Amino acid sequence: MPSLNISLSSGQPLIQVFVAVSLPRQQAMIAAGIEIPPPKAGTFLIDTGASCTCVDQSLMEGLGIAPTGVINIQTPSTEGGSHACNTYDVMFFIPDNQNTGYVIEALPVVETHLKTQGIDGLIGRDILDKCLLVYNGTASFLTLSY
Amino acid sequence: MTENLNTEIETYNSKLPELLKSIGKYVVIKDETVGGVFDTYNDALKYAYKEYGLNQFFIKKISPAEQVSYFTRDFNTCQA
Repeated sequence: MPSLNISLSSGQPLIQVFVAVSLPRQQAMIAAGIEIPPPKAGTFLIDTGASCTCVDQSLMEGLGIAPTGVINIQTPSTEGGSHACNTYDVMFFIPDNQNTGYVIEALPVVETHLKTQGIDGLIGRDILDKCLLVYNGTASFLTLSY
Repeated sequence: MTENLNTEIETYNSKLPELLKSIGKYVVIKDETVGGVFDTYNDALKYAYKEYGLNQFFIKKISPAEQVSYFTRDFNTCQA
């Protein structure tokens, strides 16, 4: 099982990821003769309190993806209620130090505004459910095996 | 991105009684038509792009009750 060892950044489990057009959409774009936008790099927070993965609007805009789903979400500010949000299919890539890494060819993500919190997205339990995460707070690093 | 999926959502809701035999699977809907039901999100997405190209379509995990995704962190969303 490949692993990433990442130092905590200012006490936060931050990780560099690339978000791109999903592989099925890339194939459709190639068939339509449309240029595939380059992947967008961002700093994501590993968040066990997030049901699913979120991506800041600034990264999503560059990919030009239309929504392919809707989910209902609940956050502290929704005060017990929920509201509907569009989801977008993306490819998700977490690089390691050997020019390889963890690739998810297609993942539905929620478009959010997180830039003001100093991050470009949240890695939620939809991804973590397929990984082994060890958070070593005393040694100030985390291990993500996939 | 503010594309409207209301037609597909209405189709999903109207077809839900018959879709419930496939709980946990993923349905692909285009306008008022159910394109197919698939075991995985990946399979549904591959079918949808192959069938509909870059046109609008909708994928939904079939569930008897609307599922809610929870977040302990607060943020602003781009609402559907």
